[in-house]
Amino acid sequence: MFQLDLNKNRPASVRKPLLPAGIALLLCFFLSLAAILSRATWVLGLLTLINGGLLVAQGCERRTLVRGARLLLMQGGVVTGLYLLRYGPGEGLAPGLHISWQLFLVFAPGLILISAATTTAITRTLGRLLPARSAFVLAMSLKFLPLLLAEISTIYEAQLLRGARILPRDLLSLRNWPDLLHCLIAPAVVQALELADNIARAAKVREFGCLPTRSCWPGDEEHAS
Amino acid sequence: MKQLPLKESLFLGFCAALLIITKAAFRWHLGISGHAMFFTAFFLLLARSCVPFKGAATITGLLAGIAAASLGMGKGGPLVIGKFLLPALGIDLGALLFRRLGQSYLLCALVGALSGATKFFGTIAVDLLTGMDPSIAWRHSLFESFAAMVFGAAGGLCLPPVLRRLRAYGVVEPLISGERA
Repeated sequence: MFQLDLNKNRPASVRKPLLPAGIALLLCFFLSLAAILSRATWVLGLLTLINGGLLVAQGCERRTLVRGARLLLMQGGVVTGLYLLRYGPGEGLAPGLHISWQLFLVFAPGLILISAATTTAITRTLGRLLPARSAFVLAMSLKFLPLLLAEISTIYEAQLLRGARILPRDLLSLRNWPDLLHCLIAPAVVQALELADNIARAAKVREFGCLPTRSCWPGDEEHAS
Repeated sequence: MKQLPLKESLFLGFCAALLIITKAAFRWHLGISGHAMFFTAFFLLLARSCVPFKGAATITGLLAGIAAASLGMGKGGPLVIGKFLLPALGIDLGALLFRRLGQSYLLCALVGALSGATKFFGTIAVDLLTGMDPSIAWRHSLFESFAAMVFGAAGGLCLPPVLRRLRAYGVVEPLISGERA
């Protein structure tokens, strides 16, 4: 149940994105900002073209397109609906659709650019932007998350054997939620604390924190390049 | 301000990672706005209650936001950081106001709802900046934040039983008091 791979949406066959992760992050920020600040329709048209070009260039998966379409429909539906309720179909439809389009362009760069970059590339980029300690904490949390999830999965199975009512169908009833909190969530938190303690001890014996800058081995990606 | 020990920083990192992973894994596609606030409120409150540090929820929210943005989760790219940071600030504020947070269901629900209410600011800021009619922006933001408050309160209600059990195990200090910063 808890076996989850962060990169499961990125099969090996997916084409390598055109832009490096750092540039993708920056471009994403500026494109979103431009969509927020723009008022003219031609600017929105231009941004749509840029996003479309990036969509093709980055080689996004079909899943990304589906997410974008769902976002456009849901967000646009709510906003246009509110405009129609407030101003009626005559005056409300055009501005409602315009704002929905603009809101979509705020979120679209994130969908296109970030989802195409690999997790490793982005984590490494963040390591250059964040303080060394924060980057270490973030990287370790993501690195050891699968291990923590495996531990939680073991606890889940053990509690099921003990008769805890924590199967998905049991949780449809709110009466069984205390079982979930007592039998799974609390031991999972203890497990997370224990894992954090182990990693902290391991880092400490390797003199972590003695230098203010990053002092670890560069890693496989830097070797490859 | 004294630096947070590495063990507790890592625990906050795990809370952040679990927060984004549960949000991804249990995406319910209910079409109900704000339901993701359930997990956000729960994990941020958990982080704040387990680590006696005044900015614990904010650090967790920031880490979750950066991780979510870097993993391409959510819809807003770098803007997704605000989705985690604003509720986290709400929870740190709530923990400052209510010393007995974590012992009372009512206070946990209240602080959970407060964290949900912060969705209003993010939504209205984006709506107004995009040039939406102010009256529509208000309604849209209220609609979004009301649902987030309900789910945030529900997430907060899950905290006291977990904390009681953790105190029984002796892994959490009795109260949010005697903080380091």
